[in-house]
Amino acid sequence: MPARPRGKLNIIRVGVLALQGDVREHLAAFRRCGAEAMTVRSADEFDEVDALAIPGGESTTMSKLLAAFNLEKPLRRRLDAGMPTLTTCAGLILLSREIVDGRPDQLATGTLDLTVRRNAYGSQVDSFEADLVLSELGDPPFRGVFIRAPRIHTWGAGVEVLASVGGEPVAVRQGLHVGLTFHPEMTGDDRIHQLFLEQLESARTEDAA
Amino acid sequence: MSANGAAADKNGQNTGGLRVKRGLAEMLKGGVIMDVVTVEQARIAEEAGAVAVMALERVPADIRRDGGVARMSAVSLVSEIKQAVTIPVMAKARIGHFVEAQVLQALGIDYVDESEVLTPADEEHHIDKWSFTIPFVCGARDLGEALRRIGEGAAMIRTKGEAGTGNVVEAVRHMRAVRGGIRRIQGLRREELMAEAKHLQAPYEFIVEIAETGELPVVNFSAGGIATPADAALMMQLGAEGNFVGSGIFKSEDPLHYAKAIVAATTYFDKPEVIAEVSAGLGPAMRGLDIAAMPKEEMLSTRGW
Repeated sequence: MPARPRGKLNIIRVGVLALQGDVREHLAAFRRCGAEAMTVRSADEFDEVDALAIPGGESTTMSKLLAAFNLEKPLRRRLDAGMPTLTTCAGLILLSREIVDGRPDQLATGTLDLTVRRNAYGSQVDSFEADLVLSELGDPPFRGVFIRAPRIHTWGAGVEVLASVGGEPVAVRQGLHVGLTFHPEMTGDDRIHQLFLEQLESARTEDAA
Repeated sequence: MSANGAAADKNGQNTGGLRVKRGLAEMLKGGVIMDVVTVEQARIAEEAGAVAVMALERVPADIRRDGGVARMSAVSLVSEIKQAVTIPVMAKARIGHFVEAQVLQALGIDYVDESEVLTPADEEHHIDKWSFTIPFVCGARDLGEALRRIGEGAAMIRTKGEAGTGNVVEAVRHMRAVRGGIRRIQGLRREELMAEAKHLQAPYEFIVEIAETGELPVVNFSAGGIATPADAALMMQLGAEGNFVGSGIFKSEDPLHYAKAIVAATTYFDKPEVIAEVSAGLGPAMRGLDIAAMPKEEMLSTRGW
């Protein structure tokens, strides 16, 4: 594998999977936080990034395109090598262990030890906003935007719950992976993107030490 | 809570707000929304990677051929399609026919298209879309029309094109009109914005917003006459954020293959080598109509006020 072309030293380069969905909003959020951000649509581009965000969108469409363009293998290879991820809604579904109400041919990488149910609050008229308390972010509460959102039904022992709605997790962390059923990229509140980047920074510092 | 159920509160949570209505359109970006008239077609669309389906009784090419009054799809058809797929389902209501829209909302589908492809129910007024929980997409030929629809509460815009023709020329004209209108506003001085609002017959607040952001306040897809993968990519390069494809897919010879190719060309719109690869061996596209030779009264895109 060729050496990854590096940007400025120490700057984190985040890729946003750009097959479909609200890609631009994630790119903008990461850039506002001072990271480098690029779209990822080809096998080579998976190797050029330190971390990957998978945006909101239609999980079945992304799954189909990953298969059609032979991107599943490079994605899995990078995930197996420990590439950190930030996933929102459709992205969380793609990285879960098991999908309820999905299509049988739909990708679930098992990166996150979760069982999720797609569109589990109902149809679009049931999409909602709610204030979320994330202890690590402090005040004010984070405005969660849930659009035809999935629900997390079961989660493994290694999964840390960062925020819940009605007793069910809506934000989880597993190692350097952060998974959300809502859309921080739509609110202009970048605290979760920031938190994700800070985790990567400290992991990097520990590696260097 | 209004009669139509907008902005309902349940357990301190908000449904039907502007952000979730516009938000679903954000999630559809970069994708293809396909017209389907049967459950079988809906399944093919989902299989091909559509981000949503538009349930209707006749595709525009057939509405054009058969004539008569085109109305909202049959309730049973919409419900069956909703049952058959896991992706979002949209359906069309006639312009101004707010009761058709209320019925579609009651069916629990995901988006209403207040569409010029159906026979208008009101030749002066569109639906007051603010009073609904369900979001609306509306057609537009230029920036002024787009902003009037957004002013009425549309959460997504599709440039109209000329539906059912398989001819992309009107889709191109309308997308250029919207994008060009935005670029023009960006070049204006602050004191010139009110005159621009008057000229466009559009709400002043949106003109100011566009001057500041350079973007339409909602997502803008292309529609009306997209018949090939290259057409789909052309619209994306011209600034569309996704494509509606109607007659183009199920009037082609191999719909599944065709639909997959249009999905791929929408994602890789700036990669000609990918468009070439997915276009190989596709077979003929729908035949298409010469719009220049078409009588004015047969144009669907002039409906909408």
